[in-house]
Amino acid sequence: MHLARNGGGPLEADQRRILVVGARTLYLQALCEFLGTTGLSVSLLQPVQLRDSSLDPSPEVVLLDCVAAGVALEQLIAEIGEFHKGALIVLLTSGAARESSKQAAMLHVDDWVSMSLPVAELVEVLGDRGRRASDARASSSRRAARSGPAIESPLSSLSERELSVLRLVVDGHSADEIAATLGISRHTVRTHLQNVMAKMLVGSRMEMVSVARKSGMRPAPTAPPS
Amino acid sequence: MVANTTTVVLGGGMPAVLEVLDFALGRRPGVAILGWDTSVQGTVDKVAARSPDVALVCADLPNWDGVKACTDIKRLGMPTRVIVVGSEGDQGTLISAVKAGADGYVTVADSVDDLVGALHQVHRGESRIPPLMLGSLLRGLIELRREDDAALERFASLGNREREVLVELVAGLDHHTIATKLHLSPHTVRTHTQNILTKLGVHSRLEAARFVFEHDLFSRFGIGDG
Repeated sequence: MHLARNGGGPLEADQRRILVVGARTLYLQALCEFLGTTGLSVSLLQPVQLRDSSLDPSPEVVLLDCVAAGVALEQLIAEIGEFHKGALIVLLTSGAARESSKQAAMLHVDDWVSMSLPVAELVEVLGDRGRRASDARASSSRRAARSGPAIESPLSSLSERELSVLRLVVDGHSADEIAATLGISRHTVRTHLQNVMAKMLVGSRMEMVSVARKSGMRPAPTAPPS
Repeated sequence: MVANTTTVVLGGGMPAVLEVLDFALGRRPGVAILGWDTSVQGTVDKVAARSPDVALVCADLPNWDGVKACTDIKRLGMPTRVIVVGSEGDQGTLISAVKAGADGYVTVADSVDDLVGALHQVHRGESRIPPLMLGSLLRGLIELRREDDAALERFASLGNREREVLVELVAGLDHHTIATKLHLSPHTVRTHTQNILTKLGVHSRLEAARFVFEHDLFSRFGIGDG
């Protein structure tokens, strides 16, 4: 496994129900198997089965694949709204951030995640969406944050010291190890990381690592190759 | 590696897709993932370096040319077998994949276990084409073959002098240069050109060049090399 899945994330606290809807079984089934290991409760549904799922307990999040094979997305979204009132609809896109957010806005869905991102980021968004299911505002502010400077160059505003702390986290070191390596206190490491997270507009350490890696930061060569 | 394990390298344009496939395939007995890459060149390099039993390339994702990856992997001349993943019913991709040397084709509507079956199947030396697409594949290939035969027939109807002129035309020379090179008058070259276009059934010199490349005419007839 090449995925940073640190324990202790917010995902393990309770089981969030996610319904994945789409026709690309191969990818979606693999995705569901993966999501199942992150503490989310996931089920996969073909678009044509949506009607049959109306009696099941409604999920917190419906992840809708943008490649729905023959069924119009608008129709599926309407059906989800009908059968699973209150569920957040997250569009699973294939494109870059700009096109994805445009597509999500056009379809009036709550959020989007793209398969062109590392899966850790996808997990983070899904976990987060479930947690803030009632907070509709969060999704729009989150979208704004995504298309803002965080996409341009999330690392550019970091100081030298913050960058070296971040690099060590990406390398998988603990706060204690970082403190020892840099000759600073554990408390200072924590402060640095809090500032890094604020500057990078991320909500968790996992997302921080994921965004850092996406921006080109790589683990030290001693780490196992991907 | 155990003898009956199938080793695999994955290639495709989307990190999240490859990460979850890596996870889902890697946890199944009898399959070992040796690596994945989101670029065509990177995938080809990883196949060259790790010589997997099977290379699995996705041909349905944007920012990525799975058929080219298949072609390049086959060009390595290694025993690695190639499976192309494409959309269900996408006959064009299936035909291109088969022409590029693919040993199997799996659709995104298949399950992960179908894919595992296909991996073992092509590893054993069998081919794997979705039964429902086999008929249209054969029709498509026969159609291509028929077009190709017609092209060969047309090309064969050219006289020796006309072939010489065609070689120069395709190389991009103008009438005057061709005339000097072949010791003809520009007027004769023009007449030859008209006859060539008529015989090949094309309307311009550019189309003639495309016709030649599409059917690989020069190398099949040992013309124009050097």
